[in-house]
Amino acid sequence: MPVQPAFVLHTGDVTHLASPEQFDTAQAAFSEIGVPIHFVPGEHDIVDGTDPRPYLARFGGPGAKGDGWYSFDAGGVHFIALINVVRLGDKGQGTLGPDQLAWLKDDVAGLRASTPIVAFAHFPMWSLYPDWGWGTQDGAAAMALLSRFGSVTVLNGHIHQIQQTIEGRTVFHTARSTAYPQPAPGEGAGPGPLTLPPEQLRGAIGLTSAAIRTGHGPLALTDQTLA
Amino acid sequence: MICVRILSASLAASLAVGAGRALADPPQGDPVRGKTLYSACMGCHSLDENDVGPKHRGVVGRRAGTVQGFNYSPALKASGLTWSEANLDRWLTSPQAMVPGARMFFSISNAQNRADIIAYLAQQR
Repeated sequence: MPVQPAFVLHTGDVTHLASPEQFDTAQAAFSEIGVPIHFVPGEHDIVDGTDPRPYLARFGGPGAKGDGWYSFDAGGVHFIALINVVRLGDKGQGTLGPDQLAWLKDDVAGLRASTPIVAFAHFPMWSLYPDWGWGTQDGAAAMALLSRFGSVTVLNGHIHQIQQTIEGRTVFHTARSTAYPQPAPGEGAGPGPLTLPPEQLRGAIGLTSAAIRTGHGPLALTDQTLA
Repeated sequence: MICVRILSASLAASLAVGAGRALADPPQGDPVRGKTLYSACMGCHSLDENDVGPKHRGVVGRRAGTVQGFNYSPALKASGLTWSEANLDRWLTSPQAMVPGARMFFSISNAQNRADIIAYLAQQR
């Protein structure tokens, strides 16, 4: 990496089919990065059911509760890892569930409203395109618990493209994938992999960098392709 | 047969729901609408390729767990089910309730949406 980050957030789908071999390959690849990585699972990491334990045994966060949710503090920011892929809602949307929402309420109860919040999950936390499952059914309940904070940044994966929205003081941002691109919401037959000419592919995949500048407004998010 | 079903559906729509028929009869599926709704399935499935889920072409009328090259759960393989429209409706309502131990956890809560998707799949021969 050209600039060594303090740590990496992985917004899920470490594997495609959650097999032991794919988890092995992912672990070997991540061991080369050399900085801490904080993961949340994607639905592909729990592909054969609702048991997140094979994933959690390898990638679970320290002190993870329930299906694997956890939080940590870094650089004055409170980071919250939300799990919305273990029980799918209507049309494959994510769900958080009452246990996780109760935990979230307790987790942020002692924080000052000036504490910047970064929440990250796999499925979009806002209703981006529910017909393709691109949303979280009870995401609004989680956002309500964070509404008193002055700066809330919500990151997700799953849709393999940049999508952003702002609701109140909350900024939602989806990063690109490092695997394959997917079509824009509602464009084409469905949300399967998007095939591009080889020369265009690396321009459609990439990473998102977040720079924390305390006291200077929201986080600066920079998207960079792998081209 | 098809005419009879269309007639019964339109009768059910024109009569009061209080007659109880609308709840008992599955809704008539609209394959055009179903094609759009099928996009929700395409995170895992497509018509012609196995991925997270098996390929769907020809699924209506097929015996469950029999697509070549797809790694099914033992539960679905042993289910003995045939994918009739009625069975697909139950499956899409709650795969885990129908076949405990199956690998699919995706569901469609709306009965009309399920009927539309099944009508679309029935055309994909």
